[in-house]
Amino acid sequence: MLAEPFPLHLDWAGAPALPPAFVFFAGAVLLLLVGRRQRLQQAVLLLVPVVGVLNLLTLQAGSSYVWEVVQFDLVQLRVDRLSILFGLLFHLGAFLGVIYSLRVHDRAQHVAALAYAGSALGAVFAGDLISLFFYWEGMAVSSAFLVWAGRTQESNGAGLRYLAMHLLSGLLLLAGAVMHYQATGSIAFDFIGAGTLSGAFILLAFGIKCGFPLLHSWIVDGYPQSTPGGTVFLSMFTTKVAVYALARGFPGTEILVPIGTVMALFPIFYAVIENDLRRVLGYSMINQIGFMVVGVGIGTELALNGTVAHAFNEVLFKGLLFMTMGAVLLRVGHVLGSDLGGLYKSMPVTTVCCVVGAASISAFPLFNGFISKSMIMAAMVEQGHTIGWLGLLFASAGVFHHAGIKIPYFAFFGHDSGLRVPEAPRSMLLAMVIAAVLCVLTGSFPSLLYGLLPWEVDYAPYTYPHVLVQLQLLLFSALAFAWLNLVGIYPPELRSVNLDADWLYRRLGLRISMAATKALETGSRLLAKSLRANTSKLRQVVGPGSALARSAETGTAALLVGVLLAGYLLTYYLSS
Amino acid sequence: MTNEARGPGAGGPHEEPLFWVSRKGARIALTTLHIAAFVAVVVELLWPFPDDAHAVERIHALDFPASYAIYGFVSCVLLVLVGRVLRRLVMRDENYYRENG
Repeated sequence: MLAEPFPLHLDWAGAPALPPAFVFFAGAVLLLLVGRRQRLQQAVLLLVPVVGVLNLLTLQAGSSYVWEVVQFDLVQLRVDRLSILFGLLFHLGAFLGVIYSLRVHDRAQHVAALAYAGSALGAVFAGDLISLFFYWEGMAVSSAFLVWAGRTQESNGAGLRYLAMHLLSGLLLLAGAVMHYQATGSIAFDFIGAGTLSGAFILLAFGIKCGFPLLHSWIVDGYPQSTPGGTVFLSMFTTKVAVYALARGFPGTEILVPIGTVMALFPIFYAVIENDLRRVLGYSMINQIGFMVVGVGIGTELALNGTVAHAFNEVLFKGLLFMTMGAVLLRVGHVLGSDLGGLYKSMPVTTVCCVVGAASISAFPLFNGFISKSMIMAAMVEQGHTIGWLGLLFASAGVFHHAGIKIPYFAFFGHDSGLRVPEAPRSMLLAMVIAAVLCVLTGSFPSLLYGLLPWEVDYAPYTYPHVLVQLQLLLFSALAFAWLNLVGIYPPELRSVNLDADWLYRRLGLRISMAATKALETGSRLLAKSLRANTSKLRQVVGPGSALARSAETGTAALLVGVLLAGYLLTYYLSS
Repeated sequence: MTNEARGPGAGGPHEEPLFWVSRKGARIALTTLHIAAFVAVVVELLWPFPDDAHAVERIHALDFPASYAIYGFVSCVLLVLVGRVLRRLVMRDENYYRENG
């Protein structure tokens, strides 16, 4: 990793150099103190990421903040190029999310959002596994409140399922950390590796938050149930913290290459048939994280730089796409592809922003996905993962199909649903426009991002062959979409639910637990019945008035004792 | 089932007019797309990649003209065909979870 200071470092001698999480936690407390005064709330919300980023940029490699608890040193501030870049990304994400949600009068949601961003920052700068665990759980609880902010029956259930999955992840992390400490005598959060039981536990904990296959359902179940602003926040932090944690603890872990490839592939099939456009974005998020997981698995400097750069870009373009769908949700009341269409007439700015986000996630030249995804792909070829590379290329074409075309097409173009709604509110538009501009800027001028990356960059995205093959891939994917539509083969948007891994606990698990409950009820009923029957027999022997309960005369008792003693003497003589 | 089909593929090509290519702007977009795709292939045929191109562009599996175009097209057709099969397997009524707890 590069040792030079972060390029945007501020040389400020009197800077307090606080752990970035503290600024956000202080902001959350302040938000509670200012009461219901809307203007003050907005001022606090805007100030927190601004003050936070100023604090962040004063941090440098020597900055330290350690709590000594019992015999452990809990490191709250581990500063290097990797943590600083993720820190910058999360401040930027929080700033965009705050602007987007500025018009919302929901203090609980704002407090949860600041606590959530703070916890994510805490996890990024944590230098030990115990601190990481506490921030990990902080993220779980605060983000569950963002899901519940939807305040519907569906969001209540989804929030509980979401929280259960994340608490499970926390438990695995804690168990892994304890085992790691027993084995190594250290709680430092550095390279862990998957070769030990503790490493496997920690990898699984990170995997839940990353959305590994079969552990991914919380993303597509929880995110679409939150409010427009809540979903924007949710999309920016949890999975990126997990990618950061993987890059820190498991670089070069081979098993991550096939896991990431599967993550990049399977969601695109679901995305094609999904009707809820925010859920489509959820699947698309798993697909993009798949690329990052592959990058961590390869573990070379090019791959890790690609992973970090793609995480940075994904926060921008996925956040932007969720913002545009949030605006549609606010104005129309739903984001069902089956009932949308033609909204470009009513929401032109939102439409343009959505198209920019779609072009970015599809990795069109001049948009930011192009400069980061290709780094991971190139590293994959360099390391000889040809089959996996072909899989990721398939996924690249697929993501253009479902996120690049489907989202804008079904929401804003296509069939005119006749919906005529106002354009998104100004604060939402502002956040969307800033994100869109950043997508284009970083895509068109890659050095802006490459200069911030943790390792030396030796990669040029804008070469004639690269631009041309990418255009071929995307243009012919678009042709396939158009032709399949024309001949009526493209799956129409239908109001429906698609069964996914969450079926395992929402239906199968439920049925098993109901069957187990029924079996327990039957068993306890039978036991009670049998006890009742035996009790009546017992009463005949020991109950009131029974033979054993009758009292006897003192003389009878003395006689009985005499008989017992005589029997004893007789036995003694006979045996001696 | 309360599934109600809407969208370009709903009900097949003959039940609903091809509304989005019937509009002038959409026709222009479709024509532009075809021209751009054609140009992207022709450019590669006229100006082949230099020998020092990055390994990604010269990977053996796809080291022939228009290979990425073919791969992109075939991938998306496969994606949709598999998606249709998947839908038959996993699609349920929109109230599926609400009705069943």
